[in-house]
Amino acid sequence: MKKLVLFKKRWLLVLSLGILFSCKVTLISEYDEITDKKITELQEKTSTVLSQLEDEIGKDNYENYKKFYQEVRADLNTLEIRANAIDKNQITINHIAILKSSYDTLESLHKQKINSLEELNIIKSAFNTSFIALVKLQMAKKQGKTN
Amino acid sequence: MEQVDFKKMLKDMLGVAKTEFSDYWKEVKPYAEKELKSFLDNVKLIAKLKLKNTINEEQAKLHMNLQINSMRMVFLTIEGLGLLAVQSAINSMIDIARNTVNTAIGWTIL
Repeated sequence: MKKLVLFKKRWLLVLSLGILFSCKVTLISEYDEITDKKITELQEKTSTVLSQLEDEIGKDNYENYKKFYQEVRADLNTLEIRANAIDKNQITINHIAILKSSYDTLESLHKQKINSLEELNIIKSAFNTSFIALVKLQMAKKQGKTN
Repeated sequence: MEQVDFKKMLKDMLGVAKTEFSDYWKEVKPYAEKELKSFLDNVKLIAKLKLKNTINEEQAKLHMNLQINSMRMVFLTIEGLGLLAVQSAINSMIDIARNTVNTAIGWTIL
């Protein structure tokens, strides 16, 4: 009887350790290939438009770019829906919300005309920093490490 | 504009970042430092454009909003990198414990 109790206790311990050690701890969402692809596409689209604007400094050309802003909004909505569907993805959700605000700001600046190359370079720098931040986190998730 | 001490501002900002991300500061310091420097360079340029009247006050505010947004993106990424580091450390410890128990039992049970 004593042996049976000891046997049961040992198995209970092994079972408890099994439950404890069998699951991986997840603090942040895993890498998502579609999110990564969509971010890269949006970055390329933005980069192309900002390069085009270089040749049109000082021109009142907002009307010609309305379609770009519409497309970007649609892309960001797609990204937002996908990001919200993934567990523990709050950082990417916040990233996308900030990016939305940045495109609204870009649109407001564009409506008022971009008057110098220096001004455009500041805008480019902000978007580059933002996309590097987004891509850096996606790459780290893919590699599963911090740097 | 001459009155703004950008070097001190960078030092103070890095100090805050170091405190906030102390556990993994060593890994993220080069990235944070580079982006904060770039942020301050852009802030200087916005101030210069405003002083030259190349941009008006509203445009200056919009430009500042873009720069602040980009820094918010950077700090969110640093937070994410920190979570990944903690997650990786916890899972590595679990792996060690699992291997130790499996070796002790003699079976691959966990």
